[in-house]
Amino acid sequence: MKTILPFMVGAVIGLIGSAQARPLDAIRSTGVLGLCAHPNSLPFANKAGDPPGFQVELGQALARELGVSLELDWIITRYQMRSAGCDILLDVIADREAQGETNLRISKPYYRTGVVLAVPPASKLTSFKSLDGHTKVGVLVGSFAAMVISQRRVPTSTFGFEIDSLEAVANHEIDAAAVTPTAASYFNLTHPDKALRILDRDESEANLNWNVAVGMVRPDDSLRDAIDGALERLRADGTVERIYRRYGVILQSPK
Amino acid sequence: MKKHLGYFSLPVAVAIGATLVASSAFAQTVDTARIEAAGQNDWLTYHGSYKSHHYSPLAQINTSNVGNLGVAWMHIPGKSTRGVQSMPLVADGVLYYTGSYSRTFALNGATGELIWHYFPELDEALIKRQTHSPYNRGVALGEGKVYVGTVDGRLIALDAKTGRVAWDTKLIDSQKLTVGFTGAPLYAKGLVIIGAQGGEWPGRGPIFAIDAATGKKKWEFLTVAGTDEAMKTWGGDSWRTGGGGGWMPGTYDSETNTLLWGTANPAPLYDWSGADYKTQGARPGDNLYTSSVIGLDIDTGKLKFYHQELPHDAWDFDSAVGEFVMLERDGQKLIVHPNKGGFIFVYDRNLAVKNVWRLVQNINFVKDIDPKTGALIGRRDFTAGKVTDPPLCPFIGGGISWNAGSYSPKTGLYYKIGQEWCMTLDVQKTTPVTSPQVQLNIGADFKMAPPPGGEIYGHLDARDPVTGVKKWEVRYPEPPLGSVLSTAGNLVFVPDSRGTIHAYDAETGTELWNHNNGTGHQGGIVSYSVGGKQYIAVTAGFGGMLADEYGPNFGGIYKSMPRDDGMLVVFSLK
Repeated sequence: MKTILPFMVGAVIGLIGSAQARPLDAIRSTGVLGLCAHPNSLPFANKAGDPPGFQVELGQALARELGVSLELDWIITRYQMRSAGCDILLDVIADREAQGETNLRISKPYYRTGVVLAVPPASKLTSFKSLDGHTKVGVLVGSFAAMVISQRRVPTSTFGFEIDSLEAVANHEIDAAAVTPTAASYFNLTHPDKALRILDRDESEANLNWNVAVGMVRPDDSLRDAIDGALERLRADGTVERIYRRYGVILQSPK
Repeated sequence: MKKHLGYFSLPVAVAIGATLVASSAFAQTVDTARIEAAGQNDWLTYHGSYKSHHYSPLAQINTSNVGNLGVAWMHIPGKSTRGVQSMPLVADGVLYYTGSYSRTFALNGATGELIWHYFPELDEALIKRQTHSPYNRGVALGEGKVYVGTVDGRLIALDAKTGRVAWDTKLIDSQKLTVGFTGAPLYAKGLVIIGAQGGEWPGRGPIFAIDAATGKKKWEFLTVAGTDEAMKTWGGDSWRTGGGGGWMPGTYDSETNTLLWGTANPAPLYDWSGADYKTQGARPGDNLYTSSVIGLDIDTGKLKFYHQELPHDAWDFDSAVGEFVMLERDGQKLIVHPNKGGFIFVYDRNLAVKNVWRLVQNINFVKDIDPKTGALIGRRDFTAGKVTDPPLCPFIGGGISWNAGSYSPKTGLYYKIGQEWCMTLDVQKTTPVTSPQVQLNIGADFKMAPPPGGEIYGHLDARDPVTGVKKWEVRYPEPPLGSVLSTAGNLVFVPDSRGTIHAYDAETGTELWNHNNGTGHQGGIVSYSVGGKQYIAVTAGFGGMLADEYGPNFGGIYKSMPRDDGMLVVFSLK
């Protein structure tokens, strides 16, 4: 499976509860849109608020479009989402398989992402295809990228954190890091002295590319329509792009 | 982390008076020699002594009078999220124990009066993000200090007389790695040794040795790929995320100057590589030194010898659990160590396998383990998908859980809890949660299931520790999760999950006494003596990853059993 937000698969005992998400009328009558976000996951979200993360900023923009205020539920796992009572999540994979796992309904996608290679500025690597038996690539443990790259008989080095993988490239321990463009872009923003070259995504490998949408917890049709409409307006006026760019992320259009 | 003098002034004032009452010999220091001698009035280290017998040589309470046992005093630690899981320690009439959040108490062992308490300031936001917290399993004593680990990655030394912080050393970046310390430290030879959590978390399972006097780190051994040889057993550099924490305390063998420690399973927990585990999956290879027992030179932290009980553990049956019972048989010095999979390993003092025997009936993750070599026979490795027929045995809680058994040198018997339960699995190729802070990576959904053709139950066995020959057995409808204590009074105490503490005749298994503490047990039990009077101290309070399974699976009393609550109950003869 693929995730952008770090929602744990596997069993966590004791985190049970029923979703409390509401239809659009209820959201408008209470004046609050609930967003579930990770409390410590910059550039996605940050409970400390400085900066707040692009999910918080986009959530605020969506709430404004709906004429309500944003309320944050800080969660770590998808199980917590069930008892948190939020209405939406951001940066959710717009994929039927992923949707099935989270039981979320999704909006129209609003950008495309996946896995890219981050390499040293002077690297001769140009794409996934240029990897070979002599190039060592940093991958996240158990990730699709780990499986796909290993199947190509490319040596891998396993990491628990994208930033560790990017640091290893910067320190020339490995030749490339297979990471999300979001992580690589934010690394370059926050480590200008170690900035890496980010290669283009390889659309030929379906598992390494995906669209991103707003995930909605049991919405009614009105809420889905309202979210889609708000997103369209925020994309059209450049708000979405501006928010992500503040975190070093250049958005690409969904496919 | 910090104590505020104004807030603590009253307890400290009480402490001085109570200490004088408790013992005039308080100034006696606890050192390696004293722990080695294991004086009968005390309980100086997690496993009772370096020999790990969990046995008290006290006999005032015995088979003839145990029926007169009653509650002497109780202590409520408060804020007991996930129950009370620690092993009390006792020195010179003062009882030390911990509750959740590493809250540490020093109590008059005769009366329960508070001498001092210490509540560390912890990162609450971090604790909320942790899956295995905020419980704590106890302290170590040494050099006039009390040592306690925290779930935010610190080891803290407290003055044993006052509870004031002597030093506070940060050892793990818990903000990044999520894990910290839940197990008790071990004091030996001027060092405090403690292992990080981290079976299912992508770290490298460090074991730290800290100077007991200064708090400075002396050495660190990485249980994942701690040597060049071991690094080759992790395909694709998966050693960077191997897990393998030594989360429970080991022990010290002074004759060989060796620290003995058990290590946890590798991460991710359930690998999907199937029979190709040597070359495929998230962590190809044997994954040294996970699910192993290791011997480290205590002075340097260098690996001396090891035995990997489960190469490429794909079942979460790690070796971090349990005691290292040291005993002699036919002129041989042996170590008996349980594995979570339900087997008991018998080693010589260099960790060479001498025997392997089954404590638990329902085991099918392997067909067997060779008793001469320790080699696994007929492994059951999984690919992604459902595992239902037959279910995997034992359940993830283990055929043997983390709490300790007991060896009585008087009867020559080893008293150990076995757990007969299984589970269905849906193994998944997960994308682990790693950014920005790792989360538990199980890699499967699982559900408790009865053993094929039978029912779930637990049992206390009295067995020969070397051969495994059974002398008697007591059964329980649900597996007990607490520690076991045997005494020279020919008694075996078992605190069970329903909340009843039982006392059995050590020779026959006949129940002689019981008492309902009103909540399940999942912590330690010890015996000690103050002023010539023998006491039995047990922690009570249920909750946590395993205990929370009891309500939905067993119903009954577990549905109404309090959570996030607990106490220390101390018994003496009426």
